[in-house]
Formats: sequence, C-alpha cells, structure tokens
Amino acid sequence: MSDDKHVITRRDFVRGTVGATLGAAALGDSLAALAAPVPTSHVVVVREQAVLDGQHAVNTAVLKTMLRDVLTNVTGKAEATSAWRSLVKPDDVIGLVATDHLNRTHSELIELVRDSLVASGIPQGNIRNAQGGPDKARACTVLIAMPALKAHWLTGIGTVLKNYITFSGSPSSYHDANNANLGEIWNMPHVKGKTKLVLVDALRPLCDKGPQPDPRYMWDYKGLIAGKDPVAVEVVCLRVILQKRQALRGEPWPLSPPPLCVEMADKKYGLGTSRMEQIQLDRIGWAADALV
Amino acid sequence: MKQASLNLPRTVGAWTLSGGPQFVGPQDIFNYMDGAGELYLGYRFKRLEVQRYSSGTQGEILVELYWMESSDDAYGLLSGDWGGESIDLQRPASGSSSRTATDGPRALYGAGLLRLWSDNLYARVMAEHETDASKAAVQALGQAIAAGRSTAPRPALIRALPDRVGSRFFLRPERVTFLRSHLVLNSVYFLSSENLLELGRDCEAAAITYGQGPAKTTGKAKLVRVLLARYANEAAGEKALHHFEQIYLPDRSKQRSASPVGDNGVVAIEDGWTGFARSGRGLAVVFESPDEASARLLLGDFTRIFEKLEASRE
Repeated sequence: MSDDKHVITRRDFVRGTVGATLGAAALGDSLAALAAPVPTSHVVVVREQAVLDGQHAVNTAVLKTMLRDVLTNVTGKAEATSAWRSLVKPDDVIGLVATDHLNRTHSELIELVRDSLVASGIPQGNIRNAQGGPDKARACTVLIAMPALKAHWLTGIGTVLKNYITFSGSPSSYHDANNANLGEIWNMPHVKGKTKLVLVDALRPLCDKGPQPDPRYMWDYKGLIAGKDPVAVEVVCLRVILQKRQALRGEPWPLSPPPLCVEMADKKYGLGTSRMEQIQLDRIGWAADALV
Repeated sequence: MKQASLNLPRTVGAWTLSGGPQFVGPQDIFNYMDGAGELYLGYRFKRLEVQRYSSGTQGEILVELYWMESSDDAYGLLSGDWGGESIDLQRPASGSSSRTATDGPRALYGAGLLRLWSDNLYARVMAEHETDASKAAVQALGQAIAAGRSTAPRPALIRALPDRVGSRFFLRPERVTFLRSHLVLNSVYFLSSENLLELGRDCEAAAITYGQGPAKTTGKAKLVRVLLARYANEAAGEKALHHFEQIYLPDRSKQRSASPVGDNGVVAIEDGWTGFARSGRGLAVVFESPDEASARLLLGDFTRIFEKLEASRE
C-alpha cells in the first residue's frame, strides 16, 4: 500500500483542487463543458441491438462480430487474427481477467475471446483465467482486462481499475479511503506493462448500488468498450454510467462516493489519461441511447 | 445441520425451493459478495441466509435474508434507497405495535427486486426475469417473510426528525438514511475519503436532506444536507467534532487552538454555510445552507432533538 496520506474532502471538489473527472462524478457537472486539447488515447465503443434478446440472453454470433469490430478498430488491423497478433505473441501466457463475481462478465464473451485467440495461433494451453490472487498475474506474460461495467457503492465505479484488486493480495485494503490508490496495483511488478487490451463488457451494466445486482439500475446497453489505455476506457465507462444516471433521474445524479481512483490513476500513477477531451472515441454500430 | 430461520413456502407460483439454505456469516460475507460486504457489516450484520427458487423456464428467484443485530440496522439497509413501489406486506394480528401513516414504506419493489425491513431482518427477494408471474411470486415470498413478525418502530433518531424546520425547510423523506458507517455516509453524501466524523458500529446517525419549500414545489431549489450523529458517549462526540473541524474546517480548527470557541459554529465555505452543534453525545452538522441564519435555525432544532432523545432515554 502507498504510505501517502492525503485526505480528500468534499471541499476539494467544490474548489476544483481535485480535477475535472472527479468533480464531474461527484457534483454532476457536464463533461462536455471541458476544454478540448489533442487526443492522446483511443477508445472504441461497439454496440449492436441484437446482441441481447428480451430476456437479456446473448446472441453469440452478434457478439462475435462485435468482438471482431473491437479488435480491428483498437489495433487498426483488418482482421481479428492480425489484431491479436499485434497485441500478443504465440508464446505468451495470456491471462483473461474477467469479473467473476457479482454482475460478472458474460461467459459468452470470455469464450469468444478465448476462441478468437486460439484462431489467431495462440495455443489453448497458453490461455487461462487470471482473476484471483497475485500469483495468477505473476504466471502470465500478458493480461487482457475484461471487467463488466458497473457503479460501485464503495469506489464510485467498479470496472477497469478495480478489476485488478485481487492482484494486490489485500483487496479489502483498497475498499476504504485507499480506493483512490487502486491504480498502484497496475504498477506492481507482477502486473506492470502486461495489459495489452482492456475490453469492458457493457452488455448489461449497473449504474447504481453495485456490485450487488439491482435490476432497477441495470439496462441493456448492448455494448463493448475497449482500448489500450485503462484510464481512458474507465473514463468512457464513467461517462456512460453518469449519463444513464442523469437520464433516469432527469437531473445530474453524481456518483457517491466519487471515483477517486480514476484521476489518481492518471496523475499519480501515470496509467493513462483521465481527461475525456484527450480521448479519441470511435462509436460503431447501434447509436440509439449511446450516452457517449 | 443448520435449519432455515423462516419456514418459507416450498412452492410459490411456478417456482420451487431448490436445495437447502446457504448460510453466510460476517467472516465469510466477502466470499459471497466481494465488494458489498462492508455495507452489511457497517450495519451490525449477524448472518445471511440464502434460498433459491427455480422454475423450468422462468428463471430463478433469489431470497436473501440478512439478520441484523437490531431493527434499526435492518431499517438502515432499506433506507439507503427509498426508490420503488411501496408494498404493504403486513398481514393482520402479528401482535405487534401498530403502524402509523408516517412510518414510511417497509417494503419496496422495482424491476423484479423486493427489499423489505421486518424487525431485525432485511430481505432482498429478486427474480431473474421480471414478469407478472414473477412479481406475484416475489411479493408472495415477501409476505411469507414478514408474516407473524413484529412491526418494529423506526429508529428513534429518525422518528424525532421534524417534517419542517421554521417555515422554509421541509424534510425530504426519500432522502433520509439511517447509518452507522462513514462508508454508507459517503455513498449518500460524499464528505471525505477519511472517517472525519468517527462514525462506527456504536454510533447511530442519519443523513438527511431538507428542501426549501414542500417537496413538490422545491424543484431544483438548493437542498440543505444534514448529518446527525449520536455517539456512545459525550467524549466520543467531542473527539469526532474535533477531528471534523481539523480536516474539514482547518481555519476554524486553528482558531480553536488559539482560544476556545465552543462546540457550535457556522462557517461560510465554498458551497454555502456549514454549521455544527454538539449537545451531549449528539452532533449535528449542516452542509450547504443558503445563509448563516438558516444554518443556525436548523442546528437549533437538531440540538433540541438530541436533548429530547436524551431526556426520554431513547
């Protein structure tokens, strides 16, 4: 754990001494109101209306197409196979890090990623489930982060950055004031630099009261959100959650607590950009109620 | 072998009880719900029983029974979110105290999830797929859970809240949360990444909101937030106030070091007027008040609440 002792209070947000991303989450400001410098990170949002049926069951054929679109657009390659080959090597040991608990990553997506890697020449035996303790990460040369999109009652958002909490070896120590330091896990020696793709399952997100499922706050977004910059992907996820909350309430409905970890992951741990205006966002597929 | 605490029906509509109950204690709650256990532990959780109902084609119904140390704790869990359709699950002749119109909901339903408070029990009954049939089954299970159980009163601190303060400030009942943990406070009103008010399992606290004008007319009017806390003893309340001032109102804290300034005060900060008043083991803090006089008016009322509660030994 970090020894830094910085007490963030509500006043920091009101003053603006804690930055724009967090302020927007805490106080409901419009992200669109922020200034617009040059994009430094690339995030892809792929959505298809037919990927879920009325009972929220997954259409795997449609999901497979979505996965291909994600891979080709994130990497700029023409096919899924070449996309994977640009991200991983055949002798890599690849850990798929999915949400395995409340509001879990759809198993269909995990299987499609696995199949897609095998089709790209990765031996089946080199692909494993890496969610769990630090040893799981240690055993892998590449990690594919595959969290499910959800708000979290302790950390504001509980998606990308929080997905590696078990790699710390002491998850509960990040659930209190230290949740701001979730980014440091990504810089631990057994984790740092291994994540080649962040692929968020946004098929049926949860925008409040997570991680325990509450169907009042779940909806069929029918999307995948992906990129190589974990902070940028988290920021786009955050925006989807915030926009959905505003749509439900008809007024800004900030996350509480604010997701302190997001800007810290940028400013303190250097994992990527937390500024929406620095993210090049590509939207593919179904456009209705995209929220970003 | 442990037995289920409640005799739930074996079948309800198209759903049949599937397997025996699963028991989860405070030590292993994180195995059952990683990342959500703190919510229940923050309310003095004793144990959880989980039952599942299955049907051929209509999905599962999950029943979670959270047994808490007191009725106040179970109420607190429901009070974290007053959204949903209010459902009356009470059957007659439970031999308990009567409900009043001002009690507020004891069961709330929305999108397949029923949440209910019944004495020291908080329950969640959730259908995998919401249909008319699953809604009826979920509500029937809710009735079975509540049947014959006493109807405990709301926490004393909540019952004591005035519906109106002065002529201007009206209680927003949908924004009243009973709590003990700063994590819960932060989930309804973010104050700090640290436990500034030193809340804990031996505290009783309420995060509440007053609007300027009746709820239907307040619209986007500025809301005033209030935190009321009763500590185990006066010294704990005094320590909490000192901690709060030190971090949240550091300028005020410096004044206090230079010369005693008392246990109440009102300060203009970035988002309005913040005031605090301590009375015995009670501490009231007002946030985002539109002006100094309003903050003092609110604090005066809440101080009197603490005095009344102490006098009545509640």
